[in-house]
Amino acid sequence: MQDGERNQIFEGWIEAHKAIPLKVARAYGATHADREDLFQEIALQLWHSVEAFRGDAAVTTWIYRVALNTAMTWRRRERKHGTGRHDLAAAGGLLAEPDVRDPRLEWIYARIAELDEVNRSLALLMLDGFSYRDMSQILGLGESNVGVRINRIKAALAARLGKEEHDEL
Amino acid sequence: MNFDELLDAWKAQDDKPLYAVNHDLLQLVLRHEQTGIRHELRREQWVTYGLGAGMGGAAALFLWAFVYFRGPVLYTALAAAGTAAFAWWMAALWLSLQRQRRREREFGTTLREEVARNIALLDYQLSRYGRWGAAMRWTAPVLVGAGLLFWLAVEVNFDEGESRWDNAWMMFILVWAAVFLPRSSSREVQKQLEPRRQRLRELLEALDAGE
Repeated sequence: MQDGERNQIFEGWIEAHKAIPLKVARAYGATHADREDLFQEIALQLWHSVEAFRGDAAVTTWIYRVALNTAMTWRRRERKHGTGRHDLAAAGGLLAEPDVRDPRLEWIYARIAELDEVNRSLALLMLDGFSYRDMSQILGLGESNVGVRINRIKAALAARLGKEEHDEL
Repeated sequence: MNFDELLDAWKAQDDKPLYAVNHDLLQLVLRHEQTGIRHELRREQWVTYGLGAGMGGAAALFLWAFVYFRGPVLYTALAAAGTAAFAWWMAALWLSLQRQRRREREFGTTLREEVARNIALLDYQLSRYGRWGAAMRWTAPVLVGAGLLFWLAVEVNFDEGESRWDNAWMMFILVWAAVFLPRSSSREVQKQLEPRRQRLRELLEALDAGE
């Protein structure tokens, strides 16, 4: 595959589905700098993955798979001591912060950040409406395992919601 | 705030993403990545095959000269050993890379398989550089070949009245390189890769937990 063709496909993916890497970067990056760094790493891995995409799965499933894989194996320290290929992002400015923040989203991301790495992925997929089967295929877990984990995540979320509603009253 | 409201807020991100992406900077990053990949590929190919072929060719030239001019049996045998050392190094490297590529292709595309693929890649890198013995195995043929080549060159051009000790410094450098380079690269690679491998193993265990 030529670079031009690859770039064209990649740009199409980013244009149509940039919300996915942004959600993943937001869920796994603790600070804005981390999120910029992780978003860039996901974008690079997506660009690399264009050639491997055979169309067996939906593009959104593929992008999620690549983004979660990158996020779970990513560490900010690696960039600092890495090959230096990410120097461009060190200057910042890749992601512009929103002017107004939705407190509900802030609340969800705060709850997601409390989960371990695997459950964080499952929470993102659950919120985006993926089936247990899709989650199982994306993460390589058994469907029953996915079900057990999702039930626990939902129960924990419901408990926190209930507690905060009670506190508000 | 209830669960449905949370889901509505979550879904709204698809139409209005959390952040605005600077596409120009992203393009710049990609171009940087492309250039880096091409540069790295060219460098690897040049170093592996250029150096191996060049030095192997020189050793083969010695061998041909000793055979053609009916040189001493010892020199001929040493030139043959030098040629074989370089040929073995290149063939072993090529075979090792092919085997590793086949191994990586066997993994699927799920996250679990991707993690396992990454671990396999790290295992391979550590097996080449990460252990003292392995580093010696990969470096020794090149150094043995280079040492034999140098020694033959000295012997062929040796003049009466010269001392062989005049060239001892070069042999010393080769021996020092044979010991120091694998040792230092082994330490450096282990320091870089071992924590990453450990982290990936923990991740794999976390994925397997509850299966």
